[in-house]
Amino acid sequence: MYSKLRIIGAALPLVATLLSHPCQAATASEPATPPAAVPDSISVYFATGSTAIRQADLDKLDFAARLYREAKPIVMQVAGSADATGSPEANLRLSQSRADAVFRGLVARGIPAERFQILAKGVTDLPVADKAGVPDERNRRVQITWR
Amino acid sequence: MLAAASGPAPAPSLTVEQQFDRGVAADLGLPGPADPATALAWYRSAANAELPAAQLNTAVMYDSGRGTPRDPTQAAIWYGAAAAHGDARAAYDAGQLYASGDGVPQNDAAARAWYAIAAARGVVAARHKYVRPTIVEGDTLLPATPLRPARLTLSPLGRDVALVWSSPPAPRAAQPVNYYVQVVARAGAKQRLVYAGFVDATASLVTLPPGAADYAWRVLTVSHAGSHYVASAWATFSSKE
Repeated sequence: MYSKLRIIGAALPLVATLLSHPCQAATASEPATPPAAVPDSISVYFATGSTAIRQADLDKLDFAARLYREAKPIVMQVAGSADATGSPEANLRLSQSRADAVFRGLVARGIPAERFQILAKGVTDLPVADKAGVPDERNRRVQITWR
Repeated sequence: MLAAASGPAPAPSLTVEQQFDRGVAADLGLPGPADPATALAWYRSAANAELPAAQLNTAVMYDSGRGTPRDPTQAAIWYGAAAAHGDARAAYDAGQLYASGDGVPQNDAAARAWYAIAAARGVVAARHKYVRPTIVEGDTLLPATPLRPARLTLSPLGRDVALVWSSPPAPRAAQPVNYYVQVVARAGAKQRLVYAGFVDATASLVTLPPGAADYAWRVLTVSHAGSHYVASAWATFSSKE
């Protein structure tokens, strides 16, 4: 199937097949997956009291980074939240730490740091309105949006 | 050259940067409603002229299916082009497509080559990225496929043109492999080698000589373990000033 290599360089058989092998690949492309809807936001969820991004959610950071386009003024907003257990002060710090963890993960994927807005929401503006003291994973999250 | 069916008519009076700015304006809806299809058409126009930021955005639009049905092969082409121009994130994203076999053959060696480039450019996440080994049946070294440029007339901003190909994985016995790129200028029956060089990943930036010319290029996948190689088909393109 393959030829033996003698000299790598100008001595490679260069032009013999030049015009007899038109490129087949110029436009042929079949989408392997059906058209994907572009999400408005991506959410990363956390264990109670934790700021560690779970292994399975690292793929979400890859996905988020792949949606980010190169243009000012596109900014990526990273908003951390905490659920309604614990003190408001601790939850504010926790939401900040979660947002920072996601921010670092996205910067590690090549998005310039100056293009972020980081928000610590604490227990304000929660996705699910729970009473105080109710643990709820849906609220232990960082939401990534961009515009 | 505008590839998308919808979108703006070609506007040769606009500079490449202005075309990119039109794309951003349509992408963001500044002013007025966002028009992703028009944005993609402008991005792609500037991408064909070798503007790296436009190549990256074109890739992202195809990758995410914004303004177009999702087309990971087109995404791979434009990530590769932007990465050939030095973009770090494009190299990381190209690695992901090869790691998962999305739009290109699943090829762990190509994925690792792109991740190594991304890591060298400061993408921390690329440093220890796990890549699942690709299982290759048989022992046949298969040729690469030239993707871009092919059957195109380019008006590059400078004289640098990103050549992008896809590559099936090499059998274990043939690894490691890298790629030897050849570009020849064609004038009638005469052909002159204008570039030849090795790269590890599946794209290469080539500086063309001054002036308009017709070119042909191909890629040889070279096995260093077995000291053999296999050549791709030739692809052709033209450049004008």
